[in-house]
Amino acid sequence: MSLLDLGWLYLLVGVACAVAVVRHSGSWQTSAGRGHAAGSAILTTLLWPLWAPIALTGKASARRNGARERNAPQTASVATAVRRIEAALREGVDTAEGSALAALLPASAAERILAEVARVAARHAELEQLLHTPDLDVERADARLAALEAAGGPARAIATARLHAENVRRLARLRDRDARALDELADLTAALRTQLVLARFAGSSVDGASGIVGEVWARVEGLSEAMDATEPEHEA
Amino acid sequence: MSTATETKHDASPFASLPTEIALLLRNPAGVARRCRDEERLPSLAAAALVATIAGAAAFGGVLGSFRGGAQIVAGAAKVPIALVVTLAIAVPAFYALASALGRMWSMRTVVALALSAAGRSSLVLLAAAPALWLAVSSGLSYHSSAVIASLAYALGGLAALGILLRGLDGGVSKLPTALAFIAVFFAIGGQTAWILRPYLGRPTLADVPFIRANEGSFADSVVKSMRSSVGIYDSVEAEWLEEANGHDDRDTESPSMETRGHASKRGRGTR
Repeated sequence: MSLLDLGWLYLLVGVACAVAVVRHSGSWQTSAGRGHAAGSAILTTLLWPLWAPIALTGKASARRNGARERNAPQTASVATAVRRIEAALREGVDTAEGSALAALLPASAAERILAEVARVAARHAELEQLLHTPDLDVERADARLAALEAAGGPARAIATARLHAENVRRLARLRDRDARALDELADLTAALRTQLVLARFAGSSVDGASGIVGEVWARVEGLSEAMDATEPEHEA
Repeated sequence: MSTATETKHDASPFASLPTEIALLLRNPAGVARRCRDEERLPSLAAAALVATIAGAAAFGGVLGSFRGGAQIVAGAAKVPIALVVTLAIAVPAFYALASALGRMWSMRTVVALALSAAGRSSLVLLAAAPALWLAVSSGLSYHSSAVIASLAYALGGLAALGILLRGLDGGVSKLPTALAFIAVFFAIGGQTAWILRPYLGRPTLADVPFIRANEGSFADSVVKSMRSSVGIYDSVEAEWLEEANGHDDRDTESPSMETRGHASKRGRGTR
């Protein structure tokens, strides 16, 4: 095959991709839409290996982004919780440093808590990403199960689909549990910080702060627990 | 980013060209995030494509100005062609490598990331073009011009890495993926650029062809250059060395294969 033959073949594929792009755009009602579709088609003809994936998959991407946006509040909430925990612990350590309260919240303990928080936040982000993939989409898994049941599919296939849907729901619950736990820990560390500040400046008893520190550690240990296989169905 | 916003930008990918080009230069982290999140990719990809073609064309034209005349047009055409062809061939390989190394990226993300990196690199080439032009106009020698052009390419490569590495953030196998991308890009880019040479146009040539005849591969040339560097000259090159009275004139444009014997129109050095 000569270079010229290769060039013709390239153009042929480009024209085919351009036709697909024009059909995909569906915006021929307005002159701007027609202009855009024509421009995109020309670009696709000349540079189809680079432009066709961009032009042809726009709608699917928009659907994915829509789904992602629906879950954005939880992601933002987790990020905010992590920032609140970091700020509260750092201020708490600074407040306690050099006083009798230092033993309650040493810097090393704060670092350990932050490390665990970071691990859970990373797990949450990973779960969030996984649950946005088509294979692990809750709605799709439920729809697949419902379709099999409605069609009277083979019992083995229905059992498999049910197991898959249940596993996906458990992953979603684990993600939600992580988000809630981080949010609660953020409130608790904020309370610990104010308690330490109060104990230092008002000379109040360290008992209150000590109690909160114990509660913080309990929550941190809870964070690291894997989801129990016997977790109740209604937790979501 | 909302679906509505995506659709709006899908309708006019070139509408926000200046903003997107500024973003390529100033906010590589934001560009990488948009590629990963598939956020308003048509406008970003269009801007990157324009930046790639315009920047590479300007730099290629300046390279060709060393020889002048038609070589300016040839250089302005060949450098963007080399870059775009390299991307077109490399992107599917990038997609396969990313998948094999555990990244759940779509083809759209890979294309956008590669285009953005190339666009940023070409903008750096565009910025370096006036400096190279000044140096060439001041009578810089062939080899020094080639070295300065290589430095500009290296700077452009670093700028591209700025987007690529940020694009690989937050996932597994960051370093292996980056190294694999770089290796694939260099292999394909090297061969494509090799096929489309010459860019500068050696001063010893009477006529500079648009593309040279097939002279083996880029890898062959690298091996030959390595052998030459330790004093082992292949037959054709050795013949040329004898003709050239011992002038050590070997370079990446393989002078041994060119028509020789004409002095430069600028009369630089011995060629």
